[in-house]
Amino acid sequence: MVEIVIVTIVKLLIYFGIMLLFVAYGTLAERKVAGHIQDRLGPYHCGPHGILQPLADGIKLFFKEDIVASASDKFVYFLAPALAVVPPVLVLAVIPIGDSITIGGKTIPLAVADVNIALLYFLGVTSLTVYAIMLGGWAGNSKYPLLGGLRSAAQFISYELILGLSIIGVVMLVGSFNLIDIVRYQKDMWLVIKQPVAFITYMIAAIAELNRAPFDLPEAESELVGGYHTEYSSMKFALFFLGEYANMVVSSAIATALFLGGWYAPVHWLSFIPGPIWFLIKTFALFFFMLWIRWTYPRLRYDQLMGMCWRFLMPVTLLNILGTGLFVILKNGGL
Amino acid sequence: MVGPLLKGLRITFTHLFKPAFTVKYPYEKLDVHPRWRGKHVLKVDEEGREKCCYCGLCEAVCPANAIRIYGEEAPPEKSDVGKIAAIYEIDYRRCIFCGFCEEACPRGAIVLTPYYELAEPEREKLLRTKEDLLEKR
Amino acid sequence: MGMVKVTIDGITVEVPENATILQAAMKAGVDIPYFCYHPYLKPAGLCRMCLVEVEGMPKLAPACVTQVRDGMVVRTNTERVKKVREGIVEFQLLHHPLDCPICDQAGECYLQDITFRYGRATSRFVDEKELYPTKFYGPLIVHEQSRCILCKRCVRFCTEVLNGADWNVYWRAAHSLIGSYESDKVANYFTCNLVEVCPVGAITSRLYRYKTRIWKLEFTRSVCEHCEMGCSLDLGVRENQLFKIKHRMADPSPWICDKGYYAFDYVNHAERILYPLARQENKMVSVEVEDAVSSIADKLKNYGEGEVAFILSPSLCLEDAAAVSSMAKAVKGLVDYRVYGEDYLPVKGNVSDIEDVESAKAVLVVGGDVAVSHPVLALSILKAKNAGAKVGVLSAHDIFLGERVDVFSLLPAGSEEPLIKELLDGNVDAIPDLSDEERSCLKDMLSGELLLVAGVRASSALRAAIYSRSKEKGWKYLFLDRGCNAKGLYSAGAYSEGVGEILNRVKEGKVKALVVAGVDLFNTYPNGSLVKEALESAEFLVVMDLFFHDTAMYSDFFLPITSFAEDGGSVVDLFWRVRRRNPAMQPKGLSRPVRDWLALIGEAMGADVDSQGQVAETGWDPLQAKAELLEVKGNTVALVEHAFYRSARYASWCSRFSEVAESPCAYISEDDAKALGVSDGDKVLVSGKGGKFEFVAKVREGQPKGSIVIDAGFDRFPVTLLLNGSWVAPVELRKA
Repeated sequence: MVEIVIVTIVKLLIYFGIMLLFVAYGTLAERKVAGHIQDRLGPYHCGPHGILQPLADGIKLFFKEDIVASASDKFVYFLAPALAVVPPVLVLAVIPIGDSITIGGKTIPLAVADVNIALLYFLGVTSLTVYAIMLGGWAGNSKYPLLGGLRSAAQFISYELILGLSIIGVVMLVGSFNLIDIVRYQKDMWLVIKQPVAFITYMIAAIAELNRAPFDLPEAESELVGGYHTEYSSMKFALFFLGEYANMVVSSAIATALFLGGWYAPVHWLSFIPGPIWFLIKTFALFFFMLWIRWTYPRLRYDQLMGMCWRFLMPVTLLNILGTGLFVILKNGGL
Repeated sequence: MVGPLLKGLRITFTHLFKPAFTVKYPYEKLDVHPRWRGKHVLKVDEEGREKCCYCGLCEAVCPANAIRIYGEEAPPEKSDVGKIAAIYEIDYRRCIFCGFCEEACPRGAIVLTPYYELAEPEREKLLRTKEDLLEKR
Repeated sequence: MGMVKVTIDGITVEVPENATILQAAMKAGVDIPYFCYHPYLKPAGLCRMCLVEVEGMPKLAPACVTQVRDGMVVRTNTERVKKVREGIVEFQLLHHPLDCPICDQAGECYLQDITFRYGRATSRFVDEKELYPTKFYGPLIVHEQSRCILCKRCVRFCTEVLNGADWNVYWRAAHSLIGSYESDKVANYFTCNLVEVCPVGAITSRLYRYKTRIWKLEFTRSVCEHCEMGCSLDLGVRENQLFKIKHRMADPSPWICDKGYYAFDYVNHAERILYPLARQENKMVSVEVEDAVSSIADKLKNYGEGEVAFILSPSLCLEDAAAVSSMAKAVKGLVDYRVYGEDYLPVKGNVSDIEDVESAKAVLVVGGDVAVSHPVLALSILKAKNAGAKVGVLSAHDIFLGERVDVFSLLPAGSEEPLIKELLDGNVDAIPDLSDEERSCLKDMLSGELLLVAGVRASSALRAAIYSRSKEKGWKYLFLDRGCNAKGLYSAGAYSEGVGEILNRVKEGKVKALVVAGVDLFNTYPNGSLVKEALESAEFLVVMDLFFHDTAMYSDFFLPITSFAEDGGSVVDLFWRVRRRNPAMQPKGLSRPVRDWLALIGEAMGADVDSQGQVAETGWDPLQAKAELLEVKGNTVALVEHAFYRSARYASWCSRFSEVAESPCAYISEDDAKALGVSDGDKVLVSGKGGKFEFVAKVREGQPKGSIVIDAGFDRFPVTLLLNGSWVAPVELRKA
């Protein structure tokens, strides 16, 4: 029992460390990618090529004056930023970054928790993120955050549906909600080949859930100043930021596990590279893809966003489920 | 519908690897045009005498009221006309670098140089006195 | 005088028949440019700038000297006139250096303005300009000879107004230069008028030289503080510093004196005390205003009736005087302003304004040097003389007016007053050293219409004599007072038994607390030792002033007050008119007017201090005075007089006046000089009651034997120690 606790704690620390590093350098990557796409350099001043910029930002955010909006609902106001970080950290528990390893005769899965309903857990927990944004938008007692929060709620509920429906196809093929099982299923062939439509709809829905461009209406700067976090400063603002990037990492990691073969090398002769590294490479590739999208496409109109969800993505995902179902039935030899 | 989206992604991706236009300013600087209107300098002649004779025209023409001068009598080794500015202050908090002072100066004593790095950590330091402005020889 | 009609540029105006075209054009509102014309000087027709076309005249006529005729038609806007103006300006600029950037006159220069308006853009002159060196005439004026356009305004001022001074045109034609033939100084008290009349930058003030530009100054109307004439001034201020004084208008006189023009820069002096000081352990330390006010109020509360005294400068304004009077009433104290030790109060003359002086038939000046005490009045008297009046000066000391008038005698210092009294009684022969011509002239004056001017030294007894004799004979009389506002202080009731009496009581311990405002008693009161003893024995001494002078050395509290430039206030001038000053700048530091200090102190004491001054309807009646004529006997009798440049207020802190490097002089007679074996410029030693002082001897023609005149007012040179309550005292004269 003690061993399990120790192993879990060690895994937790490692996971958490990796994520924080990922998040920190995610922000730098975002600025660097944005810069280079626009023929600029991005942060350059702290350390060589701005490598210490996240550190400097962290210090700056720590020492900034913590402004509390005087007319705000204090409890909710303090609660919201904290809520923003919790869901991605919780989801972290079910992400398998590698195959189980054996130390001292004991098999240890490379996920904090080997849960057989991991995907349901993921869907359930991530949907909590909307609370952070809604409460943050409401607590500031200010019009821009409120509008941001409202938009966010509508957007979140709509795209949560797409996210869930995209995953159904995968679950139907694999026949399990366990992420480790899903990855093992892809040992020979990635699910992205079997389920390309699901991958695309998943990515679209994930980006929309993350409030990122081109779906960043809740924090649309040109209309809503800062959106739901307008009234936040200093570390509270940093927590929102942290939550957003952590969500990006988590979404990328789940997508890696679902569609990109998890810890498996793309071709067999590259298998000498350890699985976790492959996992991280793939996750980062998806992370980069999100950045790339953001700095390529302009923001959608709100009606376009909703229309795309209900009139296009919804039928497409439903058709995908239908197709997958037919395939599974035919493969199993008919009804 | 998908074509243009992919085209957009291609364009941004190619730009990712193009050289940046950014000039890493404090480490490398662009050459400014020789007629760039930057910090002022008060000229001295070949014998080291101040050219400014406090006619007050720059002070009068300055649209931002950035110049403040008082004059005094001066010995021949300091001025060829016997009159110099005792106080010559340019307030860079106010100066708009229009160059009217240079245009108004009848003796070519005040000239705007291409030097543009005038930022200071304290506002008071933007008040430049004659010692700062006088040309060093 | 008949009126004639003239048409100028189509505008018809009616002017007196002796007017000139220029004056008619001014009335019509037609602009005719000029350089040499000056409204208070005779027209000269020198500059040719005012040439105009007159119908029926073949050539162009100079407007400033051409008299109008009835029905005259003048045109100033024709091509011919325009071309001539261009030509004249081009000629004026041939040798005029185009150094406006350097020139101090730029911005108020006739030549600059006229060139802009009427001149050509370029000059056709290709040769080298003829340039002359710059000449410095003493520390007050500078003459840049190249810039002179030979309008001769300055020369005409010297000849017409000063009746001759060493200032004229030398050399001929194109090489003409204006200047002084003999010296490198212009030795009169009106040099500033040369600056004022000069239309270009040829003669400029050395005080203002190159300091700032005229267009940076903001001018405020004010009134001069150096004498009772109350000349109208414009104070030029920039950034709360007083830089320049300009004469504003011809009220009372078109001219001003060097004191008014130059003695103002003490206002900006670095030594000015700007914070209240208090004596702590024998050191003056700066204290908070509230602390100073409350401790002074606490002290003054403790004194009973007659134990507090106030001594004021006669140059404080009416409101200040009213505040001091009401304060004195509140504490039942004494107050007086006659810090020069005189025993008279202002008498209202029967002369209503300066034109009465200028139009007098005969003027007799007695008992003081008008040119020192009221310099501009001397010019008016000269104007009267030039208009045909007989003018006489009978005084123990005179250095400007005497040599320019019909009757002049230097009286022996000690017996000045008895001699004048005897003259008033009809005995012309009593006056020594008069030629027959002068004697008969004097007789004529006394028998006809006469304006008697009693100088500041004339005592109350002499004033009584003048007053009664004038009433009897129907003469006009004018009594001069020291300070710029003696009449205002009298109106405010700021007088009692005299400053001497107050000082004596302080010395005896009857008066315990003394407040001295705006005056250094060591410089003004003619008994230095009494001042010293009194200040030493005063229990509590408050000094209000601008500078920490000798009197302030003894003070327990020093309160900084404002100068005339910062303090708006009223003064009552020689002709009993109220003149208002406007504050030209913010009070420097924590200085404030005397009335404000007293209001604060009064508030802390619970007394109500009122600063509403009312001007008295009538003057003092000199016949009440029971004093005797001043007579001092001795082998050698000295008259102590402030030298002109030391008689200005705060002269020690006026930069240019301290550079008028005259050392104190003793004017001695030729006989005495022979007896002592000294000649002009030698050092002599004058010893008397309170010490020994060294002077530069000036042997003066006409100076009576056994009578000398010595200069006072110099820094660290307390000649008042020689005196005993009056400005005349027996002394011993030796060769140094």
